[in-house]
Amino acid sequence: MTGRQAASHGPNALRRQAALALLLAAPTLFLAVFFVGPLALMFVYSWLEPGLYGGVEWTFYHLNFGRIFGWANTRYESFDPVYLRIFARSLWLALQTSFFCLLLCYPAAFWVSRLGPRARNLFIFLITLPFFVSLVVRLFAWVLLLRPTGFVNQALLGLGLVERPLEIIYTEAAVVIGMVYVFIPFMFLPLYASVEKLDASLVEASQDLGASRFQTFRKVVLPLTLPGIVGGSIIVFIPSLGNFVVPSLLGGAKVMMTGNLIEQQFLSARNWPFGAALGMTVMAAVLLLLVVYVRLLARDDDAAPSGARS
Amino acid sequence: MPPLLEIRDAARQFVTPDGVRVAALDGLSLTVSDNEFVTLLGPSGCGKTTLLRTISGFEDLDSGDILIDGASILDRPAHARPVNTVFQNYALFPHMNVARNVGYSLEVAGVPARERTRRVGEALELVSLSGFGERSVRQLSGGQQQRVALARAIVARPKLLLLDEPLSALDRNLRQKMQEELKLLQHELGISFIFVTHDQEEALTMSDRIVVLDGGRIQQCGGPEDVYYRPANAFVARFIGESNLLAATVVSADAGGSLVEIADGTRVHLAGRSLTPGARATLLVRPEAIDLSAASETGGASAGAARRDDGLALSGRLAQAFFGGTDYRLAVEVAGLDPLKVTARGGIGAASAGFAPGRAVSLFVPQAAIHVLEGRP
Repeated sequence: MTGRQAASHGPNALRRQAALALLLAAPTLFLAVFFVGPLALMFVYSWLEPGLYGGVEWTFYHLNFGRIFGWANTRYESFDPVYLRIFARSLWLALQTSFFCLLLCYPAAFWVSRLGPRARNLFIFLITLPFFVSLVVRLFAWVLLLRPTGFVNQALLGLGLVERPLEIIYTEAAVVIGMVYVFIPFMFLPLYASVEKLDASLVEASQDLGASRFQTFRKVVLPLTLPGIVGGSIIVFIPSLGNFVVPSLLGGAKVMMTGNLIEQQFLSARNWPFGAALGMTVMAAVLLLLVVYVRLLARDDDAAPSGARS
Repeated sequence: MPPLLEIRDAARQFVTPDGVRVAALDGLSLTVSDNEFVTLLGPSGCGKTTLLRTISGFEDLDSGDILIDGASILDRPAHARPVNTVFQNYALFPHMNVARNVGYSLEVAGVPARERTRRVGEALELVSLSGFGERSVRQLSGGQQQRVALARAIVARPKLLLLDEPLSALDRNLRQKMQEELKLLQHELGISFIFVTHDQEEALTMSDRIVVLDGGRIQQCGGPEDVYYRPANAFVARFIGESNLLAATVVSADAGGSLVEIADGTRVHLAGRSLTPGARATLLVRPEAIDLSAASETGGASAGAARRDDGLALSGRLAQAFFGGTDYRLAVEVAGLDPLKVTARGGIGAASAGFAPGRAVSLFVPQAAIHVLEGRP
């Protein structure tokens, strides 16, 4: 309150800065306590020995990571490749999710950006409409749709397209369908933001200068909407990698993802340090992938003009 | 040999959101020859931009045809037409540097990199931007961006260059400089330019031929002096330059010319012009064609006091005076007429006291400077 008053009444820069610092102090403090704190705790836990009946022993212990990556070979703790397999599957499903979200949202974003202002606002409202209903309820609806006696199979049978109900639910496909469904708004909004900014006269200029539709897309539309593509796919990829609600409802026991694994370690197995180690590994993998992704894009951006130089 | 560009009976209607049909092009025909600088001039909504966009391929025609070198281009998409455009907002690609922007048409046409570099260099030299190739277009000033857009549009040597109000975003001094440069560039390149503008001064400065458009129709097509001194109708007279339009009636006509009378009863003999007696006419008098002098003390303000038979003589009273640098723009009230616009030469001698409102003045227009339009204004 005092901060806001200082900002509006204090004419000089120093007071404004002080006010800004005061305003930012609360969220900074909040994030430090409730985000960085737990994260640091998890990091510490991942290097501690699991207690016999849950909890932790405060001794340094590297076999949590050993169980994941392969050097654990003791009587109690041994390497099991299943964890890496679950990681790989999670990565693969998250990649598919990002890809299909992009595939669905990119054309839709162009379509919406060309609508009249009223239709456009309505559409954006519709895109955010699922947020009004609980995720679990929505996913149960998908269970009803996808199960052998569900709507999808009944429709396919009725149309004579299949002879026996398809096994959709409790497969990787069901998980991808569910995650695409859940994350579509997260892909759409950043994509739409950058597609809407695209100046239509640039597209015309490209065509006017002799570029075909495909050349125009590749050389003008794609590079200029790339920030939205990058933003959207990161925002979809990260939470789908760690998602555990969708795989547990639509993937059943067969399609376990890292999210489920971590949840299991914390809640069922009560092996907190191992759960923390799994969590840290996912986080490190995500960070690594992001760095590589952004680096690659940045190099592409630099390479484009230098291509013309040669 | 067929003309470079031929537009035949082009028609295009738009339907406004309220359901009203508006003709953007209404049976318009036009030919453009090689190495010609043609300006499409008209107020907004006159169809000039629509015409340009139908040539470049971004708008379709409802009926009519567009031919380049005798062959219709209507079935060719925008990217396959031998014309390039300089866009109003330049439409430079923000993610490319200057060289890649300029070389874009060569790049998509698959011109080898070495030749591309050479031709981009030439194009940049033509617009005096040598050495700017590596810059980002975002670092350029408005005038520089304008030049890059120009270089980009001419690098592939199109047969025809379309320019859509390219100078409207520049400040006045830069605009005048670019007008001269554009004109020189057009001659140097030998490419025909079709230049769209709503700025009549710009049109007069640069054009070989001006096409005045209104309501999707050509009002007049002619050289700058033609449309300025001999406008085809009142619309052209009003749109180009400042004008005084005086309603008149033809009193009599003989072999030597015609005698006409304007609204306040003043008569003027127009030599060499045979008009139909009794017909209504409009006299166009440009403000700079009016000689203004202080009224003689004895003559008073009575009409025809300074009777001279080689022109139109009027008396009036100065109502307003605006100093515009080179000239004074004056408004003179004459009994029985609408206020007349008069342009008087400025200069250090012409003290503003000489143009004090309220002063009685005599006006004289040599009859050769009067242009007659048919009908009432």
